[in-house]
Amino acid sequence: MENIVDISQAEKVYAVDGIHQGLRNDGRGLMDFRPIVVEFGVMPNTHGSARVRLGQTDLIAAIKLRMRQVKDTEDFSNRVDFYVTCSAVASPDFAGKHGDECAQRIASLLRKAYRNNVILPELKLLKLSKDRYYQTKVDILILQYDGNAVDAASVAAKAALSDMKFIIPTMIARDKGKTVPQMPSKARSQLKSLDISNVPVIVTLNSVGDNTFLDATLEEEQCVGGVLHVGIVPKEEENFMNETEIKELTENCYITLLKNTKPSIFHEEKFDEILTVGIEAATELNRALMLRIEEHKREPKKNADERIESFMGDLQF
Amino acid sequence: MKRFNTYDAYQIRYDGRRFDQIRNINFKFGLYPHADGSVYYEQGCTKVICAVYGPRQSRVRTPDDLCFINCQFSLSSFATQNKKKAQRSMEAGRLLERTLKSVIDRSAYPKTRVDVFCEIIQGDGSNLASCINAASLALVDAGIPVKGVVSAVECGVTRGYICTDLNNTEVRGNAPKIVLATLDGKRESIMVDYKNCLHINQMERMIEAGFDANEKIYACLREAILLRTEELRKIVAVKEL
Repeated sequence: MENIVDISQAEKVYAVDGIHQGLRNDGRGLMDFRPIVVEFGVMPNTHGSARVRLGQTDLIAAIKLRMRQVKDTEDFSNRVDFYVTCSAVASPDFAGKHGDECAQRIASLLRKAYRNNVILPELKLLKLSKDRYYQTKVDILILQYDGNAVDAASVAAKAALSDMKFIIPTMIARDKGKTVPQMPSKARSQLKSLDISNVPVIVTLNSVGDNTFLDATLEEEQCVGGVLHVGIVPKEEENFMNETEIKELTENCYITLLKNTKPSIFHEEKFDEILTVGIEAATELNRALMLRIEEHKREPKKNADERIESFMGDLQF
Repeated sequence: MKRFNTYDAYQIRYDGRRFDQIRNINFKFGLYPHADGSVYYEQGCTKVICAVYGPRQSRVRTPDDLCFINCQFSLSSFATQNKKKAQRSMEAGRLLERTLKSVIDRSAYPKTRVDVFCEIIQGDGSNLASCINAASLALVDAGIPVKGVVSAVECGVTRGYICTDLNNTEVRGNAPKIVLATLDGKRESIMVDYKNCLHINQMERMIEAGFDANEKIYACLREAILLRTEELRKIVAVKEL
């Protein structure tokens, strides 16, 4: 990520001065995200998929379920696996193996955030029998990189998980404790999906001197002093709430990821402040994403014959 | 012995095409303005994104100081049913590079490099052929001088009949197939890649079928380029106002 764009010392000073005054190059405030576009079901040959555009950063997340046969499913903790690929289309610096380093960083952050039992309580549905289970693999492909890939990747993963549909086959027992799956007769009416209200959302906080800001672009990433990733599991909210109650609620949520990726020191008092800002931002981002997911669910179901207009359509920034 | 399949009974393939029919082609230029040239190309259900970066400064020097061409052909992990993780096929990359080396006017930009990256996001057969088609469109979008428009098609023998523009079900297995690339739709090949075994008597017919299909694909690509040029001309005209 460091060698994609070279900016001069003068440009860095300009950007940092602006941040100290609360202004950014594209006119945003310190806590503003760029426009985010989330599309579902872009890869019809996968179990679930989503395409997220965060400003100019463009990535696709796709989920594939693979049925695996093992000796005893109790030994396997059913976790979601993440694989991230930085495509060479995004930058010639990602060609060959160079893109893998950046990709590994993002994948390990996502894996850490998803490594607990609270986030997907229905994942045990995917353990079909004593010797077979569905392995969940989330593949993320970065097509265009303009900063803040981690946030976009976490939004894409959550959106793809919400779009995931699968069928639980009936398991028929055979000799020696093995089982064989059998698809139910009316497969289309038995599609299941997972409840994703507890899936984490990650927000990256960048700090320059005393100021923190969200959603850095590619140029801004070259000027920051410290980078902190906060992943939270949103708490349940009731639909009718007034403003004061919401403030209290943001202080009670689970943190699944807290990682400092750029070597820097945070002072103890500042740290609390930064953390509260991060949690608030992540809760807002999650709320917006859940609204979009609800909106998508309420849309009339498309036929299988209709074209997927994601890349061919006119929505460009 | 009566065989029950559409090939023998109705002379059409399982997806409803005749043996010599190519799939629908869709394209969208300029998807990624960060790259010098980019195109999203669909051939049936095979979806390819191709980006061209160049000409750029190069530290690698070729003999005669001609332009250095670097290609990468990448199949993403969700592209096909069976691939486990993302694959960067070296062989296909080399074939792509050799095809483009004979097409790009390398002496126009000495001591520089041109990078062509193809990412297949959904693979439904004819992967290499679609990449070559997408790459030729992307090169035109990047404004790199080329000797002509390359078009490629994959042909093979399925159930005893020679079919062009194979899809995923027809590509699998040990059936013989060739990827044939031509320039400007003429009947001269600039690249042929051949897999598995084929009887020498069938060879000529397969290559003829390949040339015919290439003429059709070239017509589509040429149309695409003309449309894009018109579009760009309108943008330039507006800017000059």
